[in-house]
Amino acid sequence: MTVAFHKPRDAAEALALLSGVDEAPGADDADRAKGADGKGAGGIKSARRLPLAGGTQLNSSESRNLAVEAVALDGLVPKSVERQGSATIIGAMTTFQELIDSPMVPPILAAAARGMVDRNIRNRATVGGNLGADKSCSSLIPVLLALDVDLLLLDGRRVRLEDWLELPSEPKGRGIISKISMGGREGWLSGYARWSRVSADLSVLGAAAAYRLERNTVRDLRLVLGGVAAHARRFPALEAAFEGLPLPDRSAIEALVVGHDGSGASYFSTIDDARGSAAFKSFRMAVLIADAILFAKPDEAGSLPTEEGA
Amino acid sequence: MILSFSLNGRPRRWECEPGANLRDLLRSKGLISVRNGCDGEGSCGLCAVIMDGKLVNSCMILAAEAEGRSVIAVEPDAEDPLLIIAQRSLIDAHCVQCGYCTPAVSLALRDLLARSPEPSDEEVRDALSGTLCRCTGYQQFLDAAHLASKRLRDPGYALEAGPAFKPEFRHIGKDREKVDARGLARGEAAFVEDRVTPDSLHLKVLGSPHAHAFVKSVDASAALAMSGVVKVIHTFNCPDKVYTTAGQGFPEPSPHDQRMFSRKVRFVGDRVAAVLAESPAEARAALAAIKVEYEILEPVLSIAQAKAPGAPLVHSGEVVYVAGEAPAGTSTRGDGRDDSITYQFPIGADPHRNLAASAHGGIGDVEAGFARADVVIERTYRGNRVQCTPMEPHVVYAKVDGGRLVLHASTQVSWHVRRIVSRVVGIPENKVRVIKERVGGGFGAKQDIVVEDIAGWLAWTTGKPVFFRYTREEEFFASRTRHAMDITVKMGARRDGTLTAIDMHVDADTGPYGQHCLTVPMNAVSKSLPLLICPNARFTVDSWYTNLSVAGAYQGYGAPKGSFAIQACLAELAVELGIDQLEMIEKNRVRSGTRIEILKSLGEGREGAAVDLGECGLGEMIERGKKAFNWDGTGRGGPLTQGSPTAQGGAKVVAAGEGDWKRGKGAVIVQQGSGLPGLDAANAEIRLLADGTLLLLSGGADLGTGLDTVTAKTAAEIMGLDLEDVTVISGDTDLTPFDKGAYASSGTYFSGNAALKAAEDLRTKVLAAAAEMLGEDPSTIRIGHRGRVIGSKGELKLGDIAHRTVEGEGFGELVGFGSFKTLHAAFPYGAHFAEVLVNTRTGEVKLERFHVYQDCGTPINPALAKGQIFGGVMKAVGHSLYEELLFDEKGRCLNPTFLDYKIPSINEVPRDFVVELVPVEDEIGPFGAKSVSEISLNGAAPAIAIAIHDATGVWVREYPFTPERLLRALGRLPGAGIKGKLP
Repeated sequence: MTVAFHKPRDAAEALALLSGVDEAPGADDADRAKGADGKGAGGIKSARRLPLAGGTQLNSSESRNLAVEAVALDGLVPKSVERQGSATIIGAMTTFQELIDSPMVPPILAAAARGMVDRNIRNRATVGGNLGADKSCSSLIPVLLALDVDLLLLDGRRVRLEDWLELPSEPKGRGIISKISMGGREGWLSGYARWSRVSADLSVLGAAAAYRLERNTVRDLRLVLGGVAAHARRFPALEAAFEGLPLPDRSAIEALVVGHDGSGASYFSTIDDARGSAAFKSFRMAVLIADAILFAKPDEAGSLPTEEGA
Repeated sequence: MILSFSLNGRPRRWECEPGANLRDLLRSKGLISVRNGCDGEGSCGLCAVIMDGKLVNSCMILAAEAEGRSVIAVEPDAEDPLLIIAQRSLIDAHCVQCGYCTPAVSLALRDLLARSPEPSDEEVRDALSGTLCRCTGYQQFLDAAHLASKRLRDPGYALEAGPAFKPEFRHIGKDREKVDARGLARGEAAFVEDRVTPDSLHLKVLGSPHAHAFVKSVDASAALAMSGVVKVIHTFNCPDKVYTTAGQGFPEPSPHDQRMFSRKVRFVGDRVAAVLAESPAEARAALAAIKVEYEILEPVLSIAQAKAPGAPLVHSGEVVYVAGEAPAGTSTRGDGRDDSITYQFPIGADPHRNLAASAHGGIGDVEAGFARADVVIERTYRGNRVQCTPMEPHVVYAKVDGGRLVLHASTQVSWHVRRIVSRVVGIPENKVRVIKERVGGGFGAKQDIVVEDIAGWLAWTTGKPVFFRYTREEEFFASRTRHAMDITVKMGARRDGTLTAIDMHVDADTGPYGQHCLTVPMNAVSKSLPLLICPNARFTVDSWYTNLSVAGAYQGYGAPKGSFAIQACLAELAVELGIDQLEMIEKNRVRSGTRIEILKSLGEGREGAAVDLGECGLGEMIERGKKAFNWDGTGRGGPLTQGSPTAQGGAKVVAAGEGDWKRGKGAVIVQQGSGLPGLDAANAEIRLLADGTLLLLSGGADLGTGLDTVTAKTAAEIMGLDLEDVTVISGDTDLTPFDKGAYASSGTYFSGNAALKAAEDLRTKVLAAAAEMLGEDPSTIRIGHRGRVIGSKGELKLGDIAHRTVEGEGFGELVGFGSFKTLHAAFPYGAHFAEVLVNTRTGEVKLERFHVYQDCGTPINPALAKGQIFGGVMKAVGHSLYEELLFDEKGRCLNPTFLDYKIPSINEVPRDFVVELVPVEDEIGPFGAKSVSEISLNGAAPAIAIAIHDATGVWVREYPFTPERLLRALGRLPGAGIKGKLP
C-alpha cells in the first residue's frame, strides 16, 4: 500500500528522495497517510521509496502488502519517441500504447508492446516501469536486452541495459531511467516470440533473439528468455551452443534446447506452477526459441511473421 | 491532501489520503459506477475511467496522480455526448445483462469512438480488450459499437430489427428494451454495495490455512482489544445450528452439514473466525491478531483418495435422518469429536466412507444389450473444477430496521435465504426481509447462502448494519465451483450405428460440504441420457466428500459434464464404426413423438415417468448446422497434412491447415430442462394502479437474465399496454409473493408463467368491472391497445376502471394473482457446431467458428435470448479451453486470481459466432416459451473435443483442453502431468 506520495519538482529532488535523503528540498511536502496516532500509517518509517511511473506494478494488488512511499516521475522523465541519427531514443515514461502508435519504434519492440493485449494497461504501463519491475514475465526486457540497448539515467549516466540489470535492484543502485537508446545495428537480425494462456495475459514464456548471419552461420547470438528464471535474462551457455553453427532448422533448435532428456536443464530450469508443468514450459520454450531465431528479421524490417506474441 | 481535478467537465476539490487509489476515492464520493471486480489486480477493467483522453483502470492510479487532470466517468447525469451515444447503443443492441460491467464498457466504446469514429471489428476488440464480462459473451458489443458509430453520423439511426416471432402479439417475440438497462447503463444505484451507509460495520473472515484440521482453540483477546473491533466470532462462541447453504426447495436433498463455524475445518479457506470492525482495514488487522491452535489431519484431495479403503473421513460425526432410515450397511455413529450431519431423507449416503450421496437406475437389460452389440467401447471423461466468477463477488448488506432483520442481497433465491438465515439467527421468518438487489452475475454461485448467514447473525446480535463482500480471492476459493467429475461411459452399438446399450457411471467431487451433492451429478445423467434412444441404459452416481474447495451450482448444473461424456463417447463409437458423427447422432437421437423411457428412472427427486415427446426441433437444427459448416461437402474429406485415423473412419476430415495448424469440426446435440416439475412453484401479483398502469410483483429473481423484462412483457401483452406502463418489483420477500428462485432454468417457464397467470386473472377482473360499468356482458368486452377496454356499448380506459376501484363506491383495487406449478417437463434442445484450428507443434487450440441452433420455444425477447446464449457459450468455451481451479498437495488453491485463472476476454470470441433461434412451441410454457440460458453451456466441451479429434486424430478426454494436455495426447510431451493437478 502507498503510505506517502511525493511529487518532486525536478530530477534532483526525485533522486534525493529515492536515495533516502529526507532533508532533500521538498521532502517535507510529501503527502502522507495519517495513522490513528497522527503519524504515518502502516509503519511509514520502514516504507520503501519507489519510483512511480505508470503505476501498473506499484499500485497493483501485488504490492498491497508492501508499504511504499511513491515518488512520482511524471513530468520529470521524457515521454517521447524520436530519432537521433541512426538511433531511436525512447523516453522512459512512454507507454506501451505510445510505442505501438509511434512509427519510429522498431517493429520488434512494437510487437512486444502489443503482446500486452489489455488496452487499459497499455495506456498506463511504461517502458521504464517495465524495466524497473524487472519481472520474469516482462514484455519488453527480452527484446531490449537482445537488442543490447543503452539506458540514459536521470543522473546523467549512460549504461547498457545488460549492465544495469546486474546492479542492485534498489533505486539507489540503479537510479532512474530517463531514456532508452536503440542504436542502428546493421547486419543484425532479431526476433521475438511469447506464449500466453489467453490473449489478455502476461508473457508466461518469452524469447528474444538477436544475431548476425555470416554465410548462413550464426554469430554473436544474444538470446533472452523470460519465464524460466526469476528474471528475464540472457543464457550465455545456450547462446554459445549456437555460435558458429549453420543456421539450424526448427527441429534441430528444439532438440538442442531441450537436450537429451527433454528438460532443457542444460541451460535453464523451469518449475511446476499454475501456469504449467516444468516439462511443458521447457518444451514450449524450445519452440519459442526456434521461432525467435528463425523468424528473425533485420532490426528495421516490417512486422514479425511469427504466429506467437504479436 | 487536497486534490483538484476535473470530473466530467466540472472542477472538483476533494480531500483524500495520499495512498488512496482513484477508484476508492471516486466511490467514496458517490460515483458508484466505478466497480471493482478484481481487487486491484488491474485485470477486469470494471473500474475504468477516461483520464486525459486515455482509458485506464482507476484501481491502478493513485488519486494524487489525478491532480490537474481531466477524468470522465459514468454518472447518471453525465452529459458527454459520445458517452451517451455509447450507452444508448449498448441498450439498443441488447447487451446490458447484469449491468455490472456496462459503465466500463460504455467508457471503452466512448474512448474508441473518439479515436476511431468508424471502427473495425478488430478495433472494437482492442478497445474492449481490458474489460471482462461474464454475462454477454461479448458478441453483441460489436453490434453496439457499430451502431454507435452510425449514430455519430446519423443520430436517429436505428438498429436493424432482428428476427421477430409470434406475429399475433405486440411484444412477445419482439425485441424490446430491457426494463433495467437504462439505469444500469447510466450507473444508477442498483447493487448491494450501492446501498451501504457510512455507519456500516465491515465483516472479514479468517480462513483456515489447512485443508483438514480440528480447531482446538481460538484466542481472540488481542483482536478484541484492537481499535475499531466490535466483535469476533468463532466456533466456540457462535450458535450451533446445522444447515445446508444450498438454496433448494425444503426439505432439501442436500445434507445439512454446515455450521456458521465448525469445530473442524474442511478446506483451505474454511471459516475459522470473523471480525466485525468499523473499517475494512481494522477488520483485516484484527484477523491477523487471532491465534488459532489446530490439530492438523490428513486431507482428502481427490475422488480416488476419498474412495480408498481407510481414507481419512471428511465428516466423521453422527449421521442423523429426519425421515427414512439410513441405507443398509452404512454407518451413522459419530466419533464424538466431529459435528453431526443431518439428512432430510435418504439419498444413498455413507459419509463414513466419504460418500455424500449416491443413486442408480436404468431401463431394459444392459448386459443383454452389450451382448447384442457389434462394437462396445468404454471411456472415462474428466471435467475439472471451474469457478462461476460473477464479476460482482458474493456480497450482502444486513441491518436491523423496525425490529426486523433486513438483508440487501445479491442472490438467486430470496426465499431460501430468508428461510435459512431465520433458522441460523433463531428468529421467525416474519422477522426477516430479503431484498434482492440487481445481481452482478450469479451463474449458480448465488444459489447458495454463502455470506448471508454470518452477516445476518452479526447484524441481528449487534443491532448494527453489516457489510460483507468477498474479495476476488475469497470468491475463488471459498465460493462455489462446478463439481469435478469423472464419468465412465460404456456404449454398445450394432454395425449400422444403432445403440444397443449405455452404461454411465458418475463420480463427483462435492468438496467438503454436500450442497447439491446429489442433484448436480444426477443432472449429468438426466440431461444427457434422454437425448439418445436406447432400450437398455443404466446409470450410477456417487458423490464424494473431499477437502478441496466447495462445489455447488453452476449454470448448466451437472449437464455440461454429462453432455461431454455422452456426446464424446458417441462420437468415439462412430469413429470405431466408421460412421459419420452426425449420422450416428441422427440414428439415435430423440425426435418428435419419441417415448423417452429413461425418464422413468430420472424423477428429479420424485417418482419418474416415461415422457412422450411432443415437437422436437433437433432435425432442423442439425440440418442448419450441416449446411453452414458444409458438413457433407468439400469442406470435409480432404486429407490432413499429417495422417489422422479419422481419414479411414469416414468423411470426418477437413482440408489441411497451414503448417502446424490442423483444422477440424465437431457437432453435438444438447438438452436441458425448464424448471423442476412437481418440485418448484412461482407466484406473481399484478396491481392495476389508479391511472391504468401496472405494478407487477414477481417473486422471480432477475440476475441480469432479463426475467423482469419477460414478466413485464407478459403483463403488457395481456393488458394491452406498453412496457413503460409496467413497473416490476421482484425478489423482495416482503413485497412480492413466493418464488423458488432463479435456478434449474426456471425463470421464464415458472416465473414467466406466474406473471402470465396473474395478468390473465387481472384481465378477467378488469373485464368484469368494465361489464358492470358499461352494462354489458364481459364476453362482449375486450382489451385493446393502449389500455383501451372496448365493449359493444362503449369504451373505457384502464385508468377509468382503475379509478373506480379505489373510490368509496368502487370495486376494490383490482389485483391479479398467478401461481404456477406443473408436472410437465419442457425440454429445450440445441445443436452446437464448432470448428477449431489445432497447432500440433504447440498444442494450442483456436476456436474459429461456433454456431448454436437453439430451440427455446417462443423466444419472449429474441435478442436478449441470444445474448444469454452467447454468454453461456463463452463461459463453456472458457471451461473447455482455459479454466481450471488448481490445487497443490496441501489443498491450497494455486490460482485464486484473474491473473492465473483465465476467463475469456473479447479476443477469445470466435470470429464466426452465430446463434439462431429455432422455435418449437411448448404447450405449457408462457406463449410457448421454454428455457434458454443453461443449455448453452452443454455443447462447447464435447463439440471442441470432437473437432480436435477431427483435426489431429487424438481424443482428449479431460478438459480444459490446454496446450499441455494436447501435447501429451499428441505424444509430444511425456508423462501425465504433475500428480494430476496441474494441466
